[in-house]
Amino acid sequence: MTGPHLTEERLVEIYYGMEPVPDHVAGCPDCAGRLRKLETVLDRVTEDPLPLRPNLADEAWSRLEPRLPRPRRQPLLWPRAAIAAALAAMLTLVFFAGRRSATPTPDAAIDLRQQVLLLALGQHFERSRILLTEVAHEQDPATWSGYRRVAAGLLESNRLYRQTAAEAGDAMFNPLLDDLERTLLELAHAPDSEWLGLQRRIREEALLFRMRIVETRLASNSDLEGGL
Amino acid sequence: MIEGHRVGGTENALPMPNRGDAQQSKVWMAETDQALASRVRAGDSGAFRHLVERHSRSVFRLAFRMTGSESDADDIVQDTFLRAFRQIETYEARSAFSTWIYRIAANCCLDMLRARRRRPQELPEALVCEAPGPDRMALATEVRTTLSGALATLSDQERAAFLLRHFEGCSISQIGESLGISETAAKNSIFRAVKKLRDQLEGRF
Ligand SMILES: [Zn+2]
Repeated sequence: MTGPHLTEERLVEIYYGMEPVPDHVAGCPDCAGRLRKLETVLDRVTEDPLPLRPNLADEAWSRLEPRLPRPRRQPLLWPRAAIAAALAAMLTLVFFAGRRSATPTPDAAIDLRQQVLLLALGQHFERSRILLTEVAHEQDPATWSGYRRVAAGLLESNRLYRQTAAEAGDAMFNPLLDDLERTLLELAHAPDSEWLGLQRRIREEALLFRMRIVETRLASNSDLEGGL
Repeated sequence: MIEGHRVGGTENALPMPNRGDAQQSKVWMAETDQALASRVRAGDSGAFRHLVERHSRSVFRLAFRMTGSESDADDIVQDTFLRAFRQIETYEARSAFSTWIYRIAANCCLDMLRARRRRPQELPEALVCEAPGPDRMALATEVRTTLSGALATLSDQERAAFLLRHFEGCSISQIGESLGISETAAKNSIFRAVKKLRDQLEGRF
């Protein structure tokens, strides 16, 4: 017989596989008997029947679905066509707002154009920030190609926004749009081998933080003069 | 069986969804919990359905054995996934989704039990340890009644820790994380729970 008798705690650890069965048990009828007794009780506990209905998961979902709060934003994985259509609609609005600037109330027209652009920009920053946040924490390589596609779509939008903002004489977003464009470009083309480095850079750089600040300011329509 | 290496958690395989878009379901089934959670965070509530399909049964098992009531367990499943959906931003992929959802479920159970204690007259019948009628009571019901009576004598923390280990096969560190206690406290809760159960059940089974 090797070593002292096993404590009750040790027997529980052995039963649950947290500890291997020590050699002592094989040579000690006393401890072997105590372990068997514990097994008898706990094995019976396992037989406890449950009213587990076969379609429990489906029932749970049917009851849950109507109670879920509506998503606060669009799905990230927009098809490219949808992004293009949304952008086209936005540019059309900006265009008409621009034409209206020839009317006797140019200030109002410029205000409208500004507002449309700012609203669209806010959504663009939010979508980009969600993408980058996910990318920064995503550990499953199977999802990376999907993220590359989304990044490529957002890159396209980003270029158009930058152009539109410049034409509208709105240079204040340019530094942020430039930095975002660089990151989206990298992301859209990053091979798997560079993914970890890219994730680290996204986490360490201030880009996400800057986007959130701008989103907050755009949402609250407050002073945007403080620099970006 | 002297080896006694219990693994537990018998339903970890991904269930086949029995309706809905079959093509899409195949895609979701290949997705990790982390990837699905990312999609939910991005606003895709459809991905959430698959998380519910994967984890609602284990939440129900825990909730039923914590409360002893089927309808309370159904309500806890609802509350757990509602909270999970609202808090999905706080889920970090570093820990397993199952650990995270157990933490929410355990909190929902504790809330339910606390609320119930404030109105003790509404104790569910399953937790009342009644003497089994000799003839009409099936063996299964007898086991259930005896066991639920014994489980009812544990503290909430002891019961939760024991159930997570015994029926769900959680590791000690997962249990600690799920219940917001240290690993030592989790282990000690299990020790105390087993001791109390043995005191009540030895000789009765
Ligand atoms: Zn011994």
